[in-house]
Amino acid sequence: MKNIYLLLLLLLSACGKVEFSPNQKFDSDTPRELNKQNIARLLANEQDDTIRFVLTGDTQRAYSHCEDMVSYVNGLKGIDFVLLNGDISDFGLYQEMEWINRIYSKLKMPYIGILGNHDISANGKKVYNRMYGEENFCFVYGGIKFVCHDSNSREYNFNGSVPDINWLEKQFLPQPGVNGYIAVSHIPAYTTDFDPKLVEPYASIVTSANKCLASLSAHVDNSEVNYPFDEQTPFIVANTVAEREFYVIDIVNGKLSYNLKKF
Amino acid sequence: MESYHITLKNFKINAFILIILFSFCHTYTKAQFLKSLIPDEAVAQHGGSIGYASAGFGYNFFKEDKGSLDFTYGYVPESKGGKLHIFAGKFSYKPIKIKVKDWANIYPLNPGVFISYHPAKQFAKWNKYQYPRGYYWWSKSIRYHASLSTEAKIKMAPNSKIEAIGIYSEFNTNDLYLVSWYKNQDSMPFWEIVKIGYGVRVYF
Repeated sequence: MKNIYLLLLLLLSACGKVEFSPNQKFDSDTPRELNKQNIARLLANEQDDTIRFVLTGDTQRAYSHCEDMVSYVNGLKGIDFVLLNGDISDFGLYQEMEWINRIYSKLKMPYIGILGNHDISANGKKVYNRMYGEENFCFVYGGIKFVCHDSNSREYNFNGSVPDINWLEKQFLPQPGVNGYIAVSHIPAYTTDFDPKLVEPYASIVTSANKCLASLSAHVDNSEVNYPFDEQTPFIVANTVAEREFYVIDIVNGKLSYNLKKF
Repeated sequence: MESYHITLKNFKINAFILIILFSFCHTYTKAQFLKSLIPDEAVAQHGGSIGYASAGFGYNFFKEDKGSLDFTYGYVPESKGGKLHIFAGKFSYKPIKIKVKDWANIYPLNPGVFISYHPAKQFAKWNKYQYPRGYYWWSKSIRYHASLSTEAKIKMAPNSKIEAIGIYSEFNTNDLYLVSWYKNQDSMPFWEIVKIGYGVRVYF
């Protein structure tokens, strides 16, 4: 009896993972700087004349749907990368971001994770910063500059610092090798979760450049395309993965088109 | 509404703990009452979702000390994903006892529940001026856990100050992990949400 018990104890102990707290910022095998690594992978790709990427968002607690989405996207042709536009997690826990990363890592192409309001909960922002990187960052692919940023104003109690207008102004300045810009953030600027004081300066950045092809968001639990500030700049908003929808976005010769996919 | 709900829950839990504590001392004299406050055990644990290391004291009750209630403080250093301070109140029940000759008892499967509390600014209550009612529904500071432990209790010499030493391993999951797993059972095995900890109990 005693031996059987000891064996059982050993067996049980081997299959569990020691956790210090659900709120810990990382565990022994949490990946680091995923965005940096994935951008490097993307830029190492051979580029053709079409930029084609997938816009997904709000993966929070939709693990089974994410698995289905990943298999579906892997079956599509010519996808260069995937955007996971915020609310990676529901509760801001390291474990949630690890689960989602494990699923998104099965994509054949690299993916980029953007900070959502749920990801800021508890220690979430620190988990995100360590695992994905800075919340405001850019990358240039095929002559298009993707300006990814934190627009989760409500999480900072609308203190005027988010989105960071000064930083954004700098990112949208003319730059050699850049023919167009795309703003990428979780909260669309026309919703009540965006700092009302910053809507005007934000709109002026994304519209006046006239080279901003689109603003990409998620958060509203619906697939939609709006033109809130002018007739040139679409705000393309991805549905939650749980609603089994995402956008495929193409940029050819500086022209952007989008295609809603259901899986 | 949310904060009211949590306060009521906390109240119920506190009341439950107090009732258990006072049940030791129904018709006791003052001296007996004070004696009943002396813990029956000291406990130290590694992991188990209440700290990289945690320590505390506990009480045994019910017939043959089948029930136990531990109170612990745990710490997670920065190098291990902290800093975090965690207070926990843990109840567990040992329904099965296997005697190993005269020198040990084995309690193979002990179900339990525990509550962990993270006191820090980033886990504070949702600010009602910042969020519309019901914007977020969960508590960031309090986690409700279910556990299953297994313990080997080695008896000390009869004249020793220490009655026995127990070593245990304990599996646990929590409310947020359960909610995450519940709708994803087709793709997520249950063991994904099971975390483990190891500990030692010194029985006086």
